[in-house]
Amino acid sequence: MTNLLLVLSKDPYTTEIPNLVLDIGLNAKAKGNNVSLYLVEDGVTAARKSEFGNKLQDAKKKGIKILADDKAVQSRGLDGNLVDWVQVKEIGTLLDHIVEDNTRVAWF
Amino acid sequence: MKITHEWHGSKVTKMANNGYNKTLTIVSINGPYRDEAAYTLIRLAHAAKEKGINVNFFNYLDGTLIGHRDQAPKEFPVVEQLFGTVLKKGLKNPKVDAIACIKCTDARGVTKQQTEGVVIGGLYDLGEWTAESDKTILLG
Amino acid sequence: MSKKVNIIVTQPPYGKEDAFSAIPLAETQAAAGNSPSITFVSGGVHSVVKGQKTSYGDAAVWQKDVPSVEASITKARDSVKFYVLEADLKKRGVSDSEIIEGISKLNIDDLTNRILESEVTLVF
Repeated sequence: MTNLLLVLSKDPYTTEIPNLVLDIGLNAKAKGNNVSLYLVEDGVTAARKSEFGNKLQDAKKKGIKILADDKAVQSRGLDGNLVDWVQVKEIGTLLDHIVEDNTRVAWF
Repeated sequence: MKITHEWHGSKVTKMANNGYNKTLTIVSINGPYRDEAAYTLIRLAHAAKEKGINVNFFNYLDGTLIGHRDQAPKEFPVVEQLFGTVLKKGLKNPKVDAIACIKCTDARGVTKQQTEGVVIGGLYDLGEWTAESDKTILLG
Repeated sequence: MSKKVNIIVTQPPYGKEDAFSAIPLAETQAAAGNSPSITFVSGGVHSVVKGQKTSYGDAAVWQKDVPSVEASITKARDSVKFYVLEADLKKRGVSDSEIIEGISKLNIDDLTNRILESEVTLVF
């Protein structure tokens, strides 16, 4: 079992990459790994209450942790508009996840 | 991780694990201002300083503009200044080093325009950093 | 210590420099003792199409052509493994006969495994 940190910096609908990232995360989770999806920069819009946000909620129910960068959330006026269970954290948390032992990191 | 203890009446702060700092290499490929990644890597560098993590910056493609001298945006925080301060503070532990890839700086005419602390190097340096670092990421 | 370096290219060639520039990055990883691969996904899959001819016009004006990503892939095949995500080829109507020799197709399961098994993943 591996820890997988997927960092997403891209907005869904502008690009299909968030869909790919979600597919990878779900695939890794189904294989029994710990998966975290960390939203940064434009990626935080993926957690907006919306069609894509619903996909993230489904992913959360399957055990994928969803985190989001606090400054990116604030600058985009997303406070209060995110789907449930998104953990909004400061940048130090992202760094901790990146350098954690036994964690693979893929920054999209 | 830093630990602080008393030693002969003074407070001493040092690294746990016999002074072993983790090292993170960050590759950048986007220029500042149009892309937010330059601010993200500066924020990560500030956090790394707090946590005692060494950082290597490898500036590739348009990322070689991050360290361009004489930036003077009217409305945005100045990336050069922020990056330069990170490099200066990184002369001491935890360390921060920055290399700009020469093929990219030559292409963009910015080889001689890098701010103080940025070293001109090449992809082989990134290869070595990748082998040596605990983690390597690319902010695309 | 030799690390598996899993490079993923998401951008189409020529519109961005990414596909072209990922290749020397991978080659030097090999030179430095790591084990690099490049996987083309999303728009990046257009990089694997044969018959790329790069020229913007009269040589007297342009002096040189933009370098061919196809030629770079062909040259790097000895030191870099190349892959392409099959689902993204299908979405874009790229048929097997159009693909440069020596490139292997992956599905999402394979791609996920490669990320889990590689010490380093770099996404362009």
